[in-house]
Amino acid sequence: MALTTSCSNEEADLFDQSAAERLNASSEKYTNVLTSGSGKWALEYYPMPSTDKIKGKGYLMAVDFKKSHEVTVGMNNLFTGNKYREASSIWQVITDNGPVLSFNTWNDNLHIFSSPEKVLKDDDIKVGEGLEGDYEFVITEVGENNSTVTLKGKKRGAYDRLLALPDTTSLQSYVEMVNAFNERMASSTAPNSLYLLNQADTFQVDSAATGMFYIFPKGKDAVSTQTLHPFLFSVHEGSYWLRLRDEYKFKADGKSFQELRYDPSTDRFVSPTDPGIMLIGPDPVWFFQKQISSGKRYLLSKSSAFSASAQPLMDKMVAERFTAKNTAFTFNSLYLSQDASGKYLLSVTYRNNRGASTVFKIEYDGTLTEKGIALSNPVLSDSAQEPLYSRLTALQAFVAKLAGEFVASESLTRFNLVSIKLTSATDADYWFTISQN
Amino acid sequence: MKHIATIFATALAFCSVAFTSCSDEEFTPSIFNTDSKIDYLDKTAATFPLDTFVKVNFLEPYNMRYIYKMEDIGSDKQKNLVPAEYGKSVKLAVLSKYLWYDVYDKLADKTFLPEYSPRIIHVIGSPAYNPSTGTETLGTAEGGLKITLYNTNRLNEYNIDRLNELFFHTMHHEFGHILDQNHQRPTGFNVISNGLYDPNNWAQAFDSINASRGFVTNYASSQPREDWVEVMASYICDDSIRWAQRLVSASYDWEEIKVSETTEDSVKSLIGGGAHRDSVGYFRELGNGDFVIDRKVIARNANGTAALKDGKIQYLSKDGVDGVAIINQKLDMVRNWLKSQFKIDIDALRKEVQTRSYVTDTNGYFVKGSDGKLINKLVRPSDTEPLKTLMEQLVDQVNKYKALQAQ
Repeated sequence: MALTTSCSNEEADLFDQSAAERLNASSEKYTNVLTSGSGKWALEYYPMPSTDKIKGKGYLMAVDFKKSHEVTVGMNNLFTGNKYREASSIWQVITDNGPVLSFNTWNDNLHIFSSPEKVLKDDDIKVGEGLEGDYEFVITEVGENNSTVTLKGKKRGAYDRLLALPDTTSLQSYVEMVNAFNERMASSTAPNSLYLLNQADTFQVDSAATGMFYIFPKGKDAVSTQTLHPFLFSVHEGSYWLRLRDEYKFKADGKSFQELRYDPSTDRFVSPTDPGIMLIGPDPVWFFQKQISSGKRYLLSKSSAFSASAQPLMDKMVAERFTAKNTAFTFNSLYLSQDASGKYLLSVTYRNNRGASTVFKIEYDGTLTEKGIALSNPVLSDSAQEPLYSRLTALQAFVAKLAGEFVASESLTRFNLVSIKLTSATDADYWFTISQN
Repeated sequence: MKHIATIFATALAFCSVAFTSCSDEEFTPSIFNTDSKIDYLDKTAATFPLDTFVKVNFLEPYNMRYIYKMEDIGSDKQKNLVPAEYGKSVKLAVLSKYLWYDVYDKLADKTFLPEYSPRIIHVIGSPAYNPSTGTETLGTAEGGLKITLYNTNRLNEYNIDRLNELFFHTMHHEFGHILDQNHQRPTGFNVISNGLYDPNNWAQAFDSINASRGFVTNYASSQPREDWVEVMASYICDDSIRWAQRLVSASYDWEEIKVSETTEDSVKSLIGGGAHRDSVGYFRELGNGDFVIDRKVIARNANGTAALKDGKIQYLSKDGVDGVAIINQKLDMVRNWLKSQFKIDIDALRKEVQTRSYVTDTNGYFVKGSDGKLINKLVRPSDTEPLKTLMEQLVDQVNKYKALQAQ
C-alpha cells in the first residue's frame, strides 16, 4: 500500500532524459571536447599527490586523442631512456559516478606510472606497487573554449591537467620544446638557489632540478621550515609557464598562486593575477662575487662563448703552441680563482698529446666592484717559465686584456648561474663566458 | 547455485510490486542495444575488429562478454593493475576460442557452453601481485559467472610452457571452479588429503615433497577446492611428458634431517663436495639458526651412505603415503564427475587440447623436438596456410573484420 501511494505521479521529472541517457550524453560531450580542435593536448601528469621524489613529481606527456578512440602518447624522460618515444593505445570516456577519462588498454608510456612492476631500480619502488599512478581520471572541469581540462586521478586523487595544443604543433616538438626550457631554467648544473617573492616577503627555493621546489623563508632553517612543491613547465598563450601541482598559499597574507608566466624581458616568472608574486634567480653580480670569494674556480675553454671581438684572440690562443721535450704543447683551458692571500689567479694549462701539461699561473691584484670585478698588475708567478711564456704572444694579450674592470651578468638566465658572462667595462663588445667548475 | 536462485527470486518480487503500483509510468528509451538485427559496433573505432570477433564468437553464441578494455570498477581494488595491450588481447581472445571454447564446443553437449560458460572474461595486462605472501594470483573465478585473467601483457606464443602456466592452465582451473560452483564436487574428495592442506604456507612448500603427498602442484595443497581444479587443469594442460614427470616426483618419499650443529663442516659433510648427495633435495634454514635437509628416503648403510643394489640407489617408502596412487585417485574422481555431471570425457578433452597445442605426425602421434619436448604448434607453419604460422592464422580471424571498416 505504501508503495502504491508513493507512485501516484506526485514527483515531477527534473530532467528530460533518464539517468542512463544523461550519463551517455556526458560521455559523448567529453569525448567531443577531447577530440575537438587538433585533438592534441599536453598532459601534466602526477602519479601521486605526495612529495615522494619519484611518485610525487610531475611528468610531461603530449597526447593525441583520435575519434577512432586511438590515442598516441609521447614523452621523453628517464622511463624512455631520456629519448622521445611515442606509444599508441585506446582511450574512452566512461561513466562512473561522473565522466571518467580511461586509458583502458596498455600504453607503453602512460601505464609505466600505473604498472605494479618495479619500473626503476629504487628501493622505494616495490613489486606490487610500482609508481602507483592512475590511468583513469575523473574529468572535473573544462576550461573556456576547451583550452584546458582538469583531471583528478580516480584512485590516488592527484590533480592533473590537459592543455590544448594547436594543430601546427607536433607531440614531439612540444615535449622537446618544454624539456629544453626545463633544462635551461631548472638545470641540475645550476649552482644557485631561486627566490619566491610576495611583496616584501622572500622565500628561498632550492632543488628545482628535482622537479620539486623546496621552499622555505629566506634566512630560516631549511630542514625545519621547508615545504615541497612539485611543478611542471608548459607553453600556452604564447608564453612559457610554470605551474605547481597544488596551489601555494602564503601564510602571512593568505595570498596564493599556482601558475606563473615567464617574462623573458625580465627573466622572471610572474603571477598573472598579482605581479607582486614572482619567482626570480639571484643577482649574478652578487652570486659571482660570493662564489669566487668562497674559493670556487671559473673555467674558460674553447667551448665558452665569446663576442665577435673576443673570439679572434681566443682563436689565436688556441692556435698558439710551444715545443718542449720534442713535443708540441697547445692551449687546453684557463681557470680564474681567488687564492688564500686574496690575489686573483689565472691558471692557464697547455697540454701535449702524451698527456703531459704545463700550467702558467698569473697573479692579479683585484677588487670586487659594484658591478663585477676589477683586475690589475698581472705577474707571472714562476719566473722560470718566463722564456716559454714570452713566446705565447696571444696568451700575453689575453692576460693584458683581462687586467681591467669587468661587469658580471648571467650567461643565459639567472635561473642557472653556472655560467657567468664577463663584459669589459670599457668595451661592451668584448665579452666571454666562464663556467663554475 | 541455491544462493544465486534466491537473489534472482528476490529481484523478480520487487519488479512485480513496481508494475502493480506504477502502471501508468512510461519507460524511457533504452540505452542498451536491444535489436539484434542492428550492428551497434562502431566501424570507425580502432578496436572494431576485436570487438566484432568477440561479439560473433563469444557474446552471440554463449552470452559471454570478453572484456579487454579494462574495467577498473570490476577489478580487484586491493591491487595495482594495468590494462592489457590491444594486440595481446587479440591473441588471448583467439587462443581462448581455439584452445578452450572450440574444444568444449566439439566435445560437450551443445547446451553445455551456453549454460556454463562464464558470462564475463575480464583480461588484465599486469600480474596480480600478493606482496605479503610473495605470490601472484594468475586468475580468479567469481560467483560462477566471471573469470579474471591476469598477465595478458606477458603473452608470448613462442613459449608454450609459459602460455600454459599463465593462461590455459589458469583458464581450465578457473572454469573448473565455475563448474564446481554449479555442480559441487563429491565431498569425499575433501578428505583424501585431510590434515595435509596448508592455506597459509603452501607457497613456501617444495613441489616435489608436496607431490609425494599426493598434490599435483603446490597450490593444490592450499585447500580442497583448489586441489580439485588443479588436478583437472593439470591433467588437461600437461603434455604426457610433463604429467609423467609429476607422477615420478610423486613416487618418492621424503625425510627431514635436522642438522644439530650449524658448523660449516657438519653442513658440508651432508651436502658439500665429496658427501653422499645421492638423495638430497632441499636445504633449509629455520628461523632459530638451525638447518634442515630434506632428502628422499633411500636404503642406507650404518654410516649413512647409500646402500646400492646393482650399483643403483634403492628408494623406499616411509610414511605409507603413496603420492602416485593419491593423485590417480583424485583424477579418477574428477574424471567420473565430469562424465556424470556434464557428459565430458576428460581424456578426450585432454587429447583435443594437446593436439591443438603440439605438433603431431600423420599417425596422430606427438612429435618430440631435439630437446626431448613436444613441439609448439602455434608457431609452426599452419596446415592450411604454410606461409603463416598457426598463431598468425588465428589472429587473421580478428583482422578479417578490418575489411568491414573499409566499406
